Amino acid sequence: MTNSLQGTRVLLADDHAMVRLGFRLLLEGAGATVVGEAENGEGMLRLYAELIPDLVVMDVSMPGIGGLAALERLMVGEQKARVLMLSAHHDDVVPVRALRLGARGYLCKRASPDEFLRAVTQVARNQRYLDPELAQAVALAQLSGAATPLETLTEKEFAVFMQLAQGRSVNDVAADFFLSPSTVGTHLYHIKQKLNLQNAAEMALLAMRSGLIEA
Amino acid sequence: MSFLARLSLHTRISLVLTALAASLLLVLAGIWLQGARTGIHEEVEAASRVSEQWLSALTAEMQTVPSAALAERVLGIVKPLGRIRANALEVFAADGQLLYRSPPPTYKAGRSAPGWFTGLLAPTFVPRALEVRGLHLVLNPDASRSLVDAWDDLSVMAGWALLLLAVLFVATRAALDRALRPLDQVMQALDRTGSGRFDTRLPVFSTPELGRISQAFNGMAERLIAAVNDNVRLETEREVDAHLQGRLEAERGVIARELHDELAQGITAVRALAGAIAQRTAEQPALNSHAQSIVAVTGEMQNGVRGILHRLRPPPSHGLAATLERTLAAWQLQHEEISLSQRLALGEVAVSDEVAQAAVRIVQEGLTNIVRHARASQVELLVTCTAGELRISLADNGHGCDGQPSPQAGSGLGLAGMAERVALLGGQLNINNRHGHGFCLVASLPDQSSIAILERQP
Repeated sequence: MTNSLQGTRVLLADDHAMVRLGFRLLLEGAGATVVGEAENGEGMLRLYAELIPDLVVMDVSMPGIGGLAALERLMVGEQKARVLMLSAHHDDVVPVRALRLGARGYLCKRASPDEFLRAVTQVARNQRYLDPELAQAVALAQLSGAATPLETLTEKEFAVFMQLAQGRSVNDVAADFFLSPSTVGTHLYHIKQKLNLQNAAEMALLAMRSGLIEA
Repeated sequence: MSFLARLSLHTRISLVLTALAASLLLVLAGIWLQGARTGIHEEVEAASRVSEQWLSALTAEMQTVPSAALAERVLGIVKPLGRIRANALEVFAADGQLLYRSPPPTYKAGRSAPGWFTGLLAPTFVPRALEVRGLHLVLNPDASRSLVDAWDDLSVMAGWALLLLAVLFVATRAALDRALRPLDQVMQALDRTGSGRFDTRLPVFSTPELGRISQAFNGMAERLIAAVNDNVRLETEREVDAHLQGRLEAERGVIARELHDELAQGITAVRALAGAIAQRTAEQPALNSHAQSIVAVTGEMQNGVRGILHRLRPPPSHGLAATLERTLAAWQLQHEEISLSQRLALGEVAVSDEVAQAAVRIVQEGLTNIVRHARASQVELLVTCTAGELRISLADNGHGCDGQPSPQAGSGLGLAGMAERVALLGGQLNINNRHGHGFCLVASLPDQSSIAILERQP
C-alpha cells in the first residue's frame, strides 16, 4: 500500500492551500510525487499541459470555471488523462456527471486518508473508483431512469447552469469559458427550456435542491 | 307598471295619497249628488203643487166668465205670468189647438246642464192637466234650472276639489322629499364606502328609522375599518415574518457556507495532515497512535459538521418530492400503457421522515394495486401538503372492485398493510370503490414536524 504509488506524478487542484498541503503529504508519504498544485481549473489545465502528470486530483468546486468544466476541457485534449474528482457534496448528480465526463474516480472529501490513498491508487492503475458512500445513491439514480431533469442538459449546458446558479452573470461566465455572451445566452435559453425555469432565482433553487450548490 | 316603477318613491307615494283623497272626494260628491237630487225633486214638486193650486183657484174664478171671452180672459191672466215657478204652461183649445205656450226660462237663459248630469239627477214628473170648460191647461214641471244650478255648484266644487288635490299632491311630495332627503346622503355614503373611502360616516338623522339606518351604517363602517386594519396588520406581520424568515435563511446559508467552505475544508486538511504523519510514523507507535487519533477525531468532526449542515439545510434532494418523482418516473417507464397524471404540491415545508416514508410506500402500494387489479388506463395522483397534513389521493379509471377474485393473486397485505401504516401515524385511509368507475384511495397523514414548525412561527 505504502509504496504502491511509487513514482506516480500527481497534479493537485484545490482552492484550499491547507487541503493541498495535507493531500500532498499523504501522497508523498505513499511514494507519489506531487509535481504541481493549482488553485483553480484554469491553472490545472495550464499545469497539465506543462507537466503531463500521471494523475490529477481535483476538487469539483473551485473558483473560476470550476472542476467539472475543467475536467471537460481536459478530456477534450487528453482522453487518457486519469482524474480523481473530489467533492465536499454528497449528491448523486455531480458524480454521475463527472464519471460521464471521463473522470476515473470520484471521492467525497470526508473520506479517511486511507480511503483517499486507495482511491488515488485505483485511479493511478487506470481503474474506476466510486466513493462507497455515493455508490448506492448513484446506482439508484441510474436505475430509476430519468431521475432528474438536470440529466437532460448537455455537459456544456450543465457547466453554464452551475455557474449561473451560483449567481454569476452571463458575461462573467462567457469570459471564464472563452465564449461569446450570446453563446452563453443560447445555453441559458436551452437550460431554461429543458428545466422549465423562469429566472436565475429558480435556477439557484433547483441547484440547491439537487445539492449542487450550498444554500 | 313599468311606468310607475320608473317614478320616484316620492311621486309614487304622493300619487297614492292623492288618489285616496280623490276617491274620498268622489264619495262625497256622490252623497252630495244624492242630496241634490232629492232637493231638486222636492223643490220642483212643491212648485208644481203651488202652481196647480193657483191654477185651480183661477179656474174656479173662470166659471163665471162667458164662454166666448173665456179663452181670451184666461190667456190675459196667464200670459203676463210667463212661467209659473219652474213650470212651463201650455194652453190648448178644446179642439187640441195650441193657444199658448209659456216662453223659455229667463233665469240662466240658454244654458243647460250636460245630458248625463240631467239623466243622473232629473226627477221624473207627470205633466199636470186642468180643464176649464173646454180649455186645457197643461203644467209641465221643469227641473232644468235647478239642474243648471246644481251643475254650477258641482263645477265650482269640482274646481276646488281639483285644486285641493293638486295642493295635496304637491305638499305631500314636498314633505316626503324633505323627510327622505337623508336617503340621498345614505346613498352617497354607500357609494363612497363602496369606492373604498371607509372613513365615511352618516349624521344621526332625526327620523327614527333613518336614525337607525345611520347608526347601523356607522357601526358597519367601524367594523369594516377594524377588519381592514386587521388585514393590513396581518399583512405587515406576514411581511415582517417573511422578511425575518428570509434573513434567517440567508444567515443560515452564510453559516452553512462558512462551515462547508472553511471549517470542513480545514478539517479535511487536518485529517490529511494527520494521515500523512501517521504514514511517516509507523515506527514510532506513540506518535503514530496520536496521529491516528487525530484522523479518527477529525472524522467525527466531519460527521458533526455534516450533521450541522444537514440541520441548517435539510437536503431536499433526498426529500419526498424527489423520491416520489423518481418512483413515479420508474413506474411510468414500466407501465407505459397507463397514463399517469400527477400533481405534487408539497410546498416548502419538509415533512418528517416517517411520514415521507409512509407516503412513498402508500403511493407504491397503490400503483402496484392498480397494475394488479384495476386494468385502468388512467391514473391520477395528487399529493398535497398543507399545514400539518399530508394528503395523498390516488384515483384510477379501472373497473373498480367487482367482488370477483382478481386474476393475479396479490400478497393480500396491500390494503391492510397500508391502513395499518396510516393508522400507526394517526392518519386516515379511505378507499372509495366507485363500482365501474375505478378505485379512489385517499390517505391523510398528520405531520407533526410541520405543525411544530408552524407553532414556532409567531
